[in-house]
Amino acid sequence: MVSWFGIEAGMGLAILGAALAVFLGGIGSSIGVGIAGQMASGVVTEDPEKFGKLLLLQALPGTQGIYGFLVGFWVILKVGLLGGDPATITIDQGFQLFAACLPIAFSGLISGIWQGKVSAAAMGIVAKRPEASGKALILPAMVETYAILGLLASILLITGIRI
Amino acid sequence: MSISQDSRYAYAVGRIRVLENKLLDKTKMQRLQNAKSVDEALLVLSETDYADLVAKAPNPYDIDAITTEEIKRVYLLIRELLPKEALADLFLIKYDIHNLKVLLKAHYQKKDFDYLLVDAGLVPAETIKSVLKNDQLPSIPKEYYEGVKAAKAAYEERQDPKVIDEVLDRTQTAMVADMASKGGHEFYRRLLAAQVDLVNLKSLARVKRLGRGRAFLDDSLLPGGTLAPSFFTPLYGSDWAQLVQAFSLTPYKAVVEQGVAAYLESGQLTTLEKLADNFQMTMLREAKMFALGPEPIIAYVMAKENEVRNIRIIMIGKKNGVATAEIAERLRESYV
Amino acid sequence: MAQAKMSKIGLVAPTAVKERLLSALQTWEVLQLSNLRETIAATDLALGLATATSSLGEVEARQADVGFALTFLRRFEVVTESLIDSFMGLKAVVTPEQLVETVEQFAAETAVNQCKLYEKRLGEIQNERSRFVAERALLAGWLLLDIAPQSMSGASLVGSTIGTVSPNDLAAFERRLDAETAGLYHVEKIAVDNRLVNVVVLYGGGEPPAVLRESIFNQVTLPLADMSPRVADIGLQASLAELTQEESQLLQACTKLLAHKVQLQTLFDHYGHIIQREQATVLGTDTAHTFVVEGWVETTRLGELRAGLAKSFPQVVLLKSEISAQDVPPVKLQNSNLVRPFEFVTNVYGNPMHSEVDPTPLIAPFFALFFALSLGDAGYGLILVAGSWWLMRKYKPEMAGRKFFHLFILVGLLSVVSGFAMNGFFGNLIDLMPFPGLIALKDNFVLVDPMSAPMTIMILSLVLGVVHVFLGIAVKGYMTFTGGDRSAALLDQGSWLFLILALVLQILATTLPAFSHLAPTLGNVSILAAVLVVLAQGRAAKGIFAKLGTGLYALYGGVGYFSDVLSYTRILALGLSSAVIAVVINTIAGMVVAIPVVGWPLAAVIFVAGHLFNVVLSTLGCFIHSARLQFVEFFTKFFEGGGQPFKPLRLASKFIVIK
Repeated sequence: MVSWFGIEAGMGLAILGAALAVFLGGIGSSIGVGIAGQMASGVVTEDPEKFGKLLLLQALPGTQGIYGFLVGFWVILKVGLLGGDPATITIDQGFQLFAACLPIAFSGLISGIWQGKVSAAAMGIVAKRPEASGKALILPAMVETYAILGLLASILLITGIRI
Repeated sequence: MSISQDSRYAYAVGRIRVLENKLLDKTKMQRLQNAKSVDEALLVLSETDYADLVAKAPNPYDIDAITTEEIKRVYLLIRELLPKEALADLFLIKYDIHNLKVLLKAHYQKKDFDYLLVDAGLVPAETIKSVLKNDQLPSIPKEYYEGVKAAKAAYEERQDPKVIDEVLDRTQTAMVADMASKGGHEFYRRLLAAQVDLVNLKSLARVKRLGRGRAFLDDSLLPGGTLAPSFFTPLYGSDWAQLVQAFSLTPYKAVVEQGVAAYLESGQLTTLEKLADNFQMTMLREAKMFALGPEPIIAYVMAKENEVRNIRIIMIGKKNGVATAEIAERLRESYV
Repeated sequence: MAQAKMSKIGLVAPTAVKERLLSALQTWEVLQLSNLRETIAATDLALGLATATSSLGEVEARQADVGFALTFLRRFEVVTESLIDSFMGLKAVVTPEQLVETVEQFAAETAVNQCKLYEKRLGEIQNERSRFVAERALLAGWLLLDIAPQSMSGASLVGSTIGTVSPNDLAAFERRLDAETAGLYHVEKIAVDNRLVNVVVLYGGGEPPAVLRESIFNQVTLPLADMSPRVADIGLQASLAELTQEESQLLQACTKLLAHKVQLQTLFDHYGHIIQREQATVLGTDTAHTFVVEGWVETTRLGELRAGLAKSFPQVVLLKSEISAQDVPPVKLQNSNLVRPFEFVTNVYGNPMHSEVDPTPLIAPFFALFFALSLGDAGYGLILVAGSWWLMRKYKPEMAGRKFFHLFILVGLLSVVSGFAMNGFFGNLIDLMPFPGLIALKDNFVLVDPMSAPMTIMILSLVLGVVHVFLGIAVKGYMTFTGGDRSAALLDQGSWLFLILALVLQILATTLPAFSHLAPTLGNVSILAAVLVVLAQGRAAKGIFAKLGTGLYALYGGVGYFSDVLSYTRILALGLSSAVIAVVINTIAGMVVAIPVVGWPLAAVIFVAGHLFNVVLSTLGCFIHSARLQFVEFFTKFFEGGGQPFKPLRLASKFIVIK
């Protein structure tokens, strides 16, 4: 076990990775859901009946936060922090886990923001042409693809790392 | 980052997107035009967003009051949506300028034109009035102050109320263009530049038609367009065909071609003026493509202004028994 | 048979039955009217445009009135709509008899006028109240003044006035008064606060002293000056109480009007029906004695229409016209009961063109499979089935809504199966239970656990992707082939299918040891296939280099197919996401149980709320992404869309269901 300044470096890196995945994904989603929420409140102010559909659209950019959390959770599970019996993590493993968290952390951050903007724009469709609401739901989902790819990469990497 | 730039407007755009649905569409406008009487037209209006205003107006036949009220409602909305934005101011300047013109003319003609004041500007009409009366000019925006000074000087020199309009119009254009470019509203700046071009085009055509002289044209040309005033002045002397030729490389080619053709046929400039307004509306429709920025808001306000103008034309036409076809001739295209 | 066959017909009717005929057509919901205006313009026939039977504007105005009343009355509803209600649009059920009764007997005008009156009066009350409150505020500082302000100036020898002075200026003010009135003055302080002193000033000597006009003294004009402030204040209080009483009476009256809500809604929709009918009427044409309409009807329902006409309108002539090349028939999808729910998915994208194949039967199995694999939880599947069933019972939705719920019942059921196969029942709930027998039973069904073997699901996703994309290209080939252009089908799509097949076989041979000896041969086949693609795709270009270039570029386009296939890995990601969140919820709930006293209830709340949250979000995600895989990866291979949906003249309602 390597320790830097008396800190257990391997475990620290793993936790740092988990934290990054959770909070960067969370930031992306918060901004995205925030933008979509503002637009939704604008539409609802004038037309309260659209609330349900807009709520769905607002929820869409929220998945990045969930994906980030999921990866974070997976790392916590992997290093045994949840059961109260932490594994011994070498600095190599720590770095590996840390790097494995990066795909979802960054793809979640950026795609969350952009998905929020597309969602907000799609709300314009719901406001103006309610009959095309189904199509409006699909457009923001296109952005999510890249968060999904990030999530997959992170998960495959984490499952592949030997502890 | 550009991200925070436009998402600021998300809430406002959300509201505007719904409100756009309530703009009068072609069928409603058509029915309004085809109404057989003022009463029937009012009935049509009562089915629209104007229902409230028509119902509450002390005198429903006073269409000016109703439309002014509607415009005020729109500006209040914009103020509410964009509390910290200079963007809202852009639309309000013209009402202050209008009030200044009215008050200055009243002052020189020793008449009471207060009923013409529109209380929708940046500065309350009462304030402008008392400021002008007591000559405490410095307490209104500097540009207004300068404008009034220049207008007074010009009037005292030429003794023609028209120069007041000219000087203050120029103040307005300069002020709005300056604010738009400072605020970074590229779309609005482009709209304005086109507007200045078209106003200049109209002035050129009018002055040319009446043959009022190059100096007169020089006075009425506004700066700030994409085409410099020096583009317009030499055209005063040329014939109409050359004028069309000169515009053939500008975006206004079609407007000038068709407008001039109609003029040569009828001797009237109404077609040219209408085409110019429609040109602006086409530019405005670009805003439909913008999802989140300030553009839809700008477009909504201008669309509403256009709608109100059309309603006025129709209602006043109905009141005076103008034929439907003739009214239709004067209407501008609508946004939706 | 995935699209209903359409027939084009014309109806010629005596003008006298025009309105009745259109009414009947509207109830039958069989005929979509076409616009005859252009047809008329193109002929020399002296046909006039049909005129509406009653004034459209008048009906619209009446509908707007009723709409106003409904919006106004909504303010007084005590029970607001629940989220689900507003989403579903809960409709009142009205029988045809009730509809007729309401239309004939309900005094809508009275109700609307009452609403208008009440609205106006309520607004006025608000204004009056704020005026009275403002006046009371003005009077508040003068309540001790016991004469009417108006009577004060009346005295001839002694002048008097009221006003305010700043406390700091009071002494100076009195000094000035003293000087100007030669001592003939009196200042009575009525009220003092830290900003202003309210005073009554009495002065002798006729003319008011100059100081009263200066800024040191601020003369006050009180409202209701003809009585003393106290009396005025009491009066205002009484008026305010009256207003409050009147307001509560008005509110009660409004609440009473709410009893007419269903009637108003019925009327609103009734006017709506008339408007729809009138708008359809003007699509037809009038001659001197007849009225002509043209339109589309489902061929299978033609007999029904004929029979109905023969029974009620023997004088109406039905003409069946030939469908010409310029005609664009509207599109109605027609599928078996099992496939019909998936029309909902197709319609999200749009309708097929009338000349196209309906893709619904093709997407149905894939959509269901993708959804079930992505959700992968038997418990959630059960919730979807039960929830959809309950909502459908409660809200009795129209056709599109029914498809929606049937869809979720189907995919829910499949998710139950996939859930057991993928070891998901509210996440790992069963594993946490103290019943080893149950766990063993459950384990019997488990085929693969995505949490422990994500690679297996990933490979499954990719395989599904290859099959789906392959099928998409094959459908395109089939369409081109049956469309007559056989060589193009074989060269364009056939070459690609061959290449994909060869590559798949090669990959299989490389990974399976038993077939590894075939790998080199299959490798050569793949190369041959790639050459074929280059030759086939480049054939249209002119010149050898252009051909080669175009072909190679097309081969490079194969990267697109590759990325399409990769896109299917989202099935794994979504499955993992819903499963992991479910496990997290169970874990947290499990930790909370240990807390004394509140442990169990708290755990129950976390469990229920958590899984509800997860089921909603996961369902949303699974639906959207399963649909996206159809639209983006599958439809792009062969499907255009853009057909006009079949919209027969019907009784479309906003608030009511006629049963």
